[in-house]
Amino acid sequence: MTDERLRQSYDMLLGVRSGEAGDRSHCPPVERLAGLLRREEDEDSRLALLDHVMACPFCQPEFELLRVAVRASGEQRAPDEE
Amino acid sequence: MRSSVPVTPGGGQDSREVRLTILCALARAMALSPWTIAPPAPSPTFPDMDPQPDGVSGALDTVLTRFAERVRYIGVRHGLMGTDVEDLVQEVRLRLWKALESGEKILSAPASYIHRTAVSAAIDLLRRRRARRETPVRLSRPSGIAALGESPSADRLMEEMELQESIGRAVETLIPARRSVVKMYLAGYAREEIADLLAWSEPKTRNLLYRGLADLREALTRMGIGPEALQ
Repeated sequence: MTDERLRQSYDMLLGVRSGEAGDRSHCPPVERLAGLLRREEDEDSRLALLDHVMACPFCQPEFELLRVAVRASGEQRAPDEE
Repeated sequence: MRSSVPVTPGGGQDSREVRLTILCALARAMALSPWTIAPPAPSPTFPDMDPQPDGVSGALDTVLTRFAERVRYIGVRHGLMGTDVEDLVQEVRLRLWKALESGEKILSAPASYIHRTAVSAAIDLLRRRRARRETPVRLSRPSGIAALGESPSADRLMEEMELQESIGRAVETLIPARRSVVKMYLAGYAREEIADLLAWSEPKTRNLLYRGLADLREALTRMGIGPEALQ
């Protein structure tokens, strides 16, 4: 199975989950999502947080919005900006 | 917030100074020279705005427009839908105009001002949405549905759903470092982005990703899903 096929299925899985009832009691606060971009926590905490964000259909788009805000406002180390 | 913002910045030397400081901050934040800003243009977003004799407001609006274009461009690349992007642009716009109106002093380095404004605007936007229990807009990444054809059969759809669930379960069996990296990769992140977020070197990221993907395929194989699955 190709990487692209895996990505497609994972993307659809998140889509299905986003349509289900949204229990966000386990979601981290917005400030922690923003802290991820500033690398505020230790590596284990960042990994745990990203583990949640990348599988959560609610946190993932929120995290992307924060990334867009950071990059559009002049953050310099964005690798895919150009 | 989509309505236009009533802005009547006060006159006087202090107010002009603040406007110019913000203007320079915006220009520097977007890697523009303050001296290359285009002449003032009519603002469709703030039709009730008082024209400024020195053209600062028009120039500021021009720079804000550039900022909006940048947000939209990057937003699309990040899979965001129009609503998210427009809400962020309006939130930043509102904050900057409020700063102008109040004559707020900008104490920090100018280049960091717009950066902090944009990030805090995004945080507040998300807080409000959570408080209202609004469901975030789904990322608009290419869907695998299209790859399956226009009218996939019910059997095909069922197989696809089972595959999705299997991938979801298999990912959770990976060791933590590899699991996070694989999830980011499957969510569409490039290796360089993963390395950047985790403050890892490129070789370390590549190593963990490749091992993680290999583990994932092994786990899927144990579940009876081989390389030929739903090609």
